[in-house]
Amino acid sequence: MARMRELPYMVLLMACLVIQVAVLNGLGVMGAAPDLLFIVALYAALFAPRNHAVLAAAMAGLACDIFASGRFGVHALLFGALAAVLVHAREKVFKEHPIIQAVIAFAALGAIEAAGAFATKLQYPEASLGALIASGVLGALWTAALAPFALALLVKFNRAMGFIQKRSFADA
Amino acid sequence: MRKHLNTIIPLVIALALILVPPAITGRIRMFAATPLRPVGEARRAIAANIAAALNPSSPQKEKSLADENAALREQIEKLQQQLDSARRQLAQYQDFAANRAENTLPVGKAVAATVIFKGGTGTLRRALYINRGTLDGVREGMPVVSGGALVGVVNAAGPAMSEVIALGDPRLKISVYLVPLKSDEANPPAGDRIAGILAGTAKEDSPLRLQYIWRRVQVAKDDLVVTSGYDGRLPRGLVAGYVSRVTDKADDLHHAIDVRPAADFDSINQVLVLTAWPQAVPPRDAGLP
Repeated sequence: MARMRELPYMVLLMACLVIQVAVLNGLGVMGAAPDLLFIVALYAALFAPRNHAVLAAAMAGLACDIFASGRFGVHALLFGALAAVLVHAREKVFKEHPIIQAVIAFAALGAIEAAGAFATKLQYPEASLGALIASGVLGALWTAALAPFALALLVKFNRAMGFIQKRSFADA
Repeated sequence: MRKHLNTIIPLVIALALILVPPAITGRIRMFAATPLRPVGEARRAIAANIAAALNPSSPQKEKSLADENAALREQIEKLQQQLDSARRQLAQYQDFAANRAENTLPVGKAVAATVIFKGGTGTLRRALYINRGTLDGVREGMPVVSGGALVGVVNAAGPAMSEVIALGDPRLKISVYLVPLKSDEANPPAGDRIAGILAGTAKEDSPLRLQYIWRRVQVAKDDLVVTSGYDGRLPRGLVAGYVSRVTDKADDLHHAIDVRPAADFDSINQVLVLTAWPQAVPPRDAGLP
């Protein structure tokens, strides 16, 4: 069974975190910015070895949590749960296709942002649900537009990350 | 079961982290973010150099400035006519200004900081990251100001870096005074203060909502909103924002007041973290419910 290489993956996460906070957060439109760390989690969910996908996605979530001012660990849980679902679904879709990647990115991040918006509204009634959802959907659109390009780049690191899999009946 | 441990363990750890109090995880987050501080400072220096390179001085620019100068001279003529009404408003502000002067911060009780990152990740992104932390005396809950206007409050402080949640974030609620410009029968004397609560809405166009101001109080656009200090967390007299819109419904007891922040979130580069301030007991407000 293939084994993920943790060190190169952590280097990748750090590089993506730097790009996210130093560049992408500055490109925000209406409070929404593309989420590169979510794309890394998606990359792990779609391409990591089955038994390491959740761990890899949760690590991306944890990196995201460093600059999220809410509860620490929320993104790790959500990204990990997303990977747990996608790891079962990925054999049923053509995961290398850019449109499929964009649709998955939009649907998954849209669901996460919508859940976050409802949770925020419940906790802080003064918050505008419409503004939170609009910002979340816009962020999901941004991310979905970026996802195929970023994933096309990231799959070139499959070998370095240990994400090359040999298909076997045991994995199915 | 053993096959699923690689799936279950990361999720259980993440769940356990969520249950840790934010006061502890905030410090862990800022400790983990500290290695990125040089990156943030380099990013800011590069952005400043690019901005300088994109706006060089040139003969064309000098000519356009001369034209603009001439247009401005014409405007000055018109503005002279508005000076009388402005003087009346100035008189109304003087009481308030005198009140603020009494509460000027003592020297050496603030820490200057540079904004190295803007905008966080997650649902609520209205956060700033500054290059000062606990080693510089910054602690959670300290107010952050820019140009005399309140920017936000320190949410998490690491050794050399801190996170500031800015006004407009729904988690930030502050006790404020409304300072009306107009004075009439319905309102208390001009320059007097009416207590309310300022809460974030997470909207981009009107990020703040002023609550609990009675309908009998007349509120006008550009009325001042300043911190009252009632909550004991913030000093009194910091300008939080200005009234931008009043949208009342017929059966409401209180006004629905949108407030625009005095500090421009997008253009803030330098801030002061207030580490100490005089704890004056405020007089009773004219419009206190």
